[in-house]
Amino acid sequence: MTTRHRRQPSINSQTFAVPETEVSDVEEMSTDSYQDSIDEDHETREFDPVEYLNDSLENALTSMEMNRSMVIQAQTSGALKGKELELIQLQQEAEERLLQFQKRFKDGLKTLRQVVKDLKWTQQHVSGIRKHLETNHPIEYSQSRDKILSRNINIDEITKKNDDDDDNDDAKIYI
Amino acid sequence: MSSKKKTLLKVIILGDSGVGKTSLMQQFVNGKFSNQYKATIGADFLTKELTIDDKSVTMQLWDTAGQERFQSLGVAFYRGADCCVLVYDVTNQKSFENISLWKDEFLIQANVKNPENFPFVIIGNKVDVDENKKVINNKKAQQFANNLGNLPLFQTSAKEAVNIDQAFDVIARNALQQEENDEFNDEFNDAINIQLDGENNNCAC
Repeated sequence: MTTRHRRQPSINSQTFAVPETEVSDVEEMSTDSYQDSIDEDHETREFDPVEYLNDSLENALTSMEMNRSMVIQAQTSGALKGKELELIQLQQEAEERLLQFQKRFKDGLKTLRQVVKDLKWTQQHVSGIRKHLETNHPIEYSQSRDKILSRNINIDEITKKNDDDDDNDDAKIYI
Repeated sequence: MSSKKKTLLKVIILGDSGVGKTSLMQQFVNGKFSNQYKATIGADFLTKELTIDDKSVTMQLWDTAGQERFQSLGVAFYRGADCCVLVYDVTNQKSFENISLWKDEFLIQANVKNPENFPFVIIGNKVDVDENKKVINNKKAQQFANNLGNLPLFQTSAKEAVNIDQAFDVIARNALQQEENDEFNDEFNDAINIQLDGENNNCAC
């Protein structure tokens, strides 16, 4: 039992006090061992219900259980706050990364359009050159064409080489 | 009835993260010290039975979170405090500068009736470190404590148990003084009006 910040009651508790004679009657009915433990002041003191209720309330409010519950509340609150701040931080990081990815995607799209444009241009020029060579230098064109078509090509070797190159490119991208 | 009661002294320990609040409390209550740092989440308390001038008291030491991220949203446990301990780290300038902030924070949150006379104690912890690592010297700290209202100042080491008992003895005495002052000065001025306006006093049945 502990005591803390005792307040004076705002109402006169004597109004509810049990008269002294009644207290004596009660005490007479008490056991001897109980009487021994009561000091002189208590024997003559009136029972004060307001003080009793006040003390009971104070004791209830300042008990260790109350303090323990406050500790649990504070710890839960602290843990929640910690997690909330962690989540906010993670959310901010995620938003930043999303913006980065959006920017990279936009740049990628731009690059893709440029590549498509360049390929078209190259295709047109290659077609133009081929037509020009076919028309103006038919012998050389045919010889070159036969040379290319009769060329001994090892498909497996080329495929493997291309795969290796692709892997290196991927590694470069992800690094 | 009241003669059977034991006095409870509520002490709040405040200060920046990592200054050694938990270590001070653990050293004083359990005589233990751990080199491992573990952030306090929310708050916690330990109690210790003490005898001050033949009077038996229970000291309830409330350890609080220094890291803002782990601080409790509500600080209900500040209320009813009898003494507040402000801790700084002698190797950390910022923790020393924040002492006055912690003091103000406490006075606001604890709703202290008489802020001018509320007992505070300042503790400069980690005095066991090398002299060249210390950034707050004794003179500077003493001057600061005087400026804050002649607050008691102790240089302690929770690691090597230096000055711990002396500091907490003063804390307990100041808290006891505050507790006794509160007990005498407290008055219940505002009675609760249980009569609601326009309430019908007649029985409806």
